[in-house]
Amino acid sequence: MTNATWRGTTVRTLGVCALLPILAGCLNPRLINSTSGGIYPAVPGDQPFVLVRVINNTDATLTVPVGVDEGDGETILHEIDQLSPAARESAVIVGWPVARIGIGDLDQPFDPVIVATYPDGTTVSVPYGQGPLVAGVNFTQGDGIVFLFSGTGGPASLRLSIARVPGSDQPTAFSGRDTFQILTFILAQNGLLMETATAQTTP
Amino acid sequence: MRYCIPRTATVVLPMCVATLCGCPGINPDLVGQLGGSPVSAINVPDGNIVILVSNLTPTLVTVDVQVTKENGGTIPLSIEVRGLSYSARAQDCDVQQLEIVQATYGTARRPITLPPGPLSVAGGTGIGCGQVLSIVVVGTPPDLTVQTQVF
Repeated sequence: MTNATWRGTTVRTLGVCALLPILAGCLNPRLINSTSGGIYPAVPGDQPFVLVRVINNTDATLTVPVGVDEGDGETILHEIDQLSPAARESAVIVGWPVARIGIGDLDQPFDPVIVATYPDGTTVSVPYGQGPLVAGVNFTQGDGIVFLFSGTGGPASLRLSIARVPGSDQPTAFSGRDTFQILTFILAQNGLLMETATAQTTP
Repeated sequence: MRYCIPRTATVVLPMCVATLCGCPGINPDLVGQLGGSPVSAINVPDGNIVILVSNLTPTLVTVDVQVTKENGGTIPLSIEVRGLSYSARAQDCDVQQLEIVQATYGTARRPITLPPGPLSVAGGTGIGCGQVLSIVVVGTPPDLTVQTQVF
């Protein structure tokens, strides 16, 4: 396994991990920069969520429907719409437990659900093209998943890379606000925290 | 769930996903030689600013939030939340402004009256890295209200 150190957290490039067959061997080890810190959490860590981030490093404006299966076999879509190269990134926070995560209908991976609109007006629709990420195999509670779209040479250069940021390797204490702990607290106060989730509710 | 593709001239291309392009063990330096754009690195965010929509009503609600980044880039978030549920989005901390544009309920998207006063929070002063913008929808249709707070 190839690791990069990021704020004291080990970021595992899925391409080398034998336990993550779907993404094996396909990640650039230099994909994740190393930074120092520990001020704020970047991923949920010990809180009952998974962070799914979409990054647009292309010259197109993207529409990406993040698909989530909460355990009943149905896909719930969280659409990231009109993500321009300037805006660059946006993320969905999914409550734990979750069974599968991907793009589009998780049972229809070849539907052309990712829409890319280029500066000259060209619009292309492309499929996710692979099976969903599976909880317990490809990710677990507290992790971050990154869907990185790259390619600035038009539609033919459009590429997708997928990375996992293990929450277990993230520091548990932060000098700044613990964002996801705050999130857990708010949801608990509103009675929206899933009973099966384990988390700290004290802010 | 069906996904509606916009009515534009669309060309379905078999996008090159890494797993379908000669993996495993692809040499990162080889990517450029194959004609694709080499992925060198991405910047890991310093933290997150979270937008949380909590729907304490029995009906579907949708809250539209406009995110403006420090570089002027914008993201229109249309956050749809089922009854008695929540949805949360996150952005990198380089946010200049978050603005609640509108809130609606039901599939017909009937408007919810927003509270008076400015419904935008400025990055850095109104909301900072690591914080959560909580948007709570309460009430019974058609008498729904929106409450906002930054944690």
